[in-house]
Amino acid sequence: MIWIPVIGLALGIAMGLTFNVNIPVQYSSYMSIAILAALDTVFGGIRASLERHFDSSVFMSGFFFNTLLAALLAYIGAELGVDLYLAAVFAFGVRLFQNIATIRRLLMQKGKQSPDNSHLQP
Amino acid sequence: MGNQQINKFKWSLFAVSLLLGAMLTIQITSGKNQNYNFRADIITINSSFAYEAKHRQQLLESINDMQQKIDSYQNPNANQENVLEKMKDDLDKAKIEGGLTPLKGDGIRIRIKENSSFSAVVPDRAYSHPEQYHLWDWELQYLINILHSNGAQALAFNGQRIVTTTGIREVGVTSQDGVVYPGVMQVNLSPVRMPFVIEAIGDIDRMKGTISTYIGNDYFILKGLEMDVTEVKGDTKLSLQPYSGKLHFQFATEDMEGETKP
Repeated sequence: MIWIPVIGLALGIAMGLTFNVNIPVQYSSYMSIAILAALDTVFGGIRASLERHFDSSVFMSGFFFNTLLAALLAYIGAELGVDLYLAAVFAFGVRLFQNIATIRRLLMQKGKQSPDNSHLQP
Repeated sequence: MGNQQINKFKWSLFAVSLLLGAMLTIQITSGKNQNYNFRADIITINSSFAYEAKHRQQLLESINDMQQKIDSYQNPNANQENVLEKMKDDLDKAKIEGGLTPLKGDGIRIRIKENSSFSAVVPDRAYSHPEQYHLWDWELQYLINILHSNGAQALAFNGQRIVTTTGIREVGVTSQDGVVYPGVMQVNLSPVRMPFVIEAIGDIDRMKGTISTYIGNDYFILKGLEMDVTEVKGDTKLSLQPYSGKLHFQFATEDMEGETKP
């Protein structure tokens, strides 16, 4: 199971290197925010799967919607002269850490409930 | 979690990881390719702005100077014909000096030929002969050189106009044990044969004096040759054809900075 995102990431990196797409400097900040949103969605999906309420449609829509919304928010902020991207950074950053913390706790719980220790459970 | 849901999760995670990897790579490589490492604080920006403002002011002053020059050139009150006439004169002088125009004028004609008095003694120069009778290319070069530096304004060697890039050389000549195996004398890469005729327009007295001092008839008699110098002046004038070859400006270009240096 752990190899799936690793293979996906490796293929994505290979694609990025192969096609050598160049993002103009002025759009670089939007791309950074979009990547942050994408990371948040990925960790949210992993958390949902561990909590056994994963929904692929929610996951995929969340990925694209959050990514685009974050980039759009940064763009609007730049146009208005307000650093709106900070709101996205804050929101996604906080959620990212929450998701990672939850994943960590869930994995630790799973470790405790592993077959070796199952006989200790009531 | 059912099998179908697990499969969906796997594929979704795979697709999202793929996209995330591509996005990350694109973002990282874009930054590196453009070498965008702009890190500036307000002080740096202020100093950069001041520098650019000063540079802009200098450029504006430069534009003003150029505009004034253009205005002076375009001024209808200025006598442009005089300026053009002067430029044309300069161009004509440059062409004359470069040997690119046909010239006519008073001068001397030098003829170097076989001395009939010694024909019985001197061997045929077309074949191998003793070194002492050979007329070397550097001797002809020397003759041209002293004429150039002593009153000659324009020169021709067997009809070939002498210019700055002219070479006078004997191609294929060899010498061994005092015997010369002659080659072909060339001027401007064109073969020339005896008699050699050098025509020089310029100060006749000075040129004749120089020849008799440095490399006169006595010099050529020792080689079994004969040199006669005739003056061409008055109604009969020397007429020199222009240089017919190409002038190459392949390696040297005008040094514009050198003009301003003292």
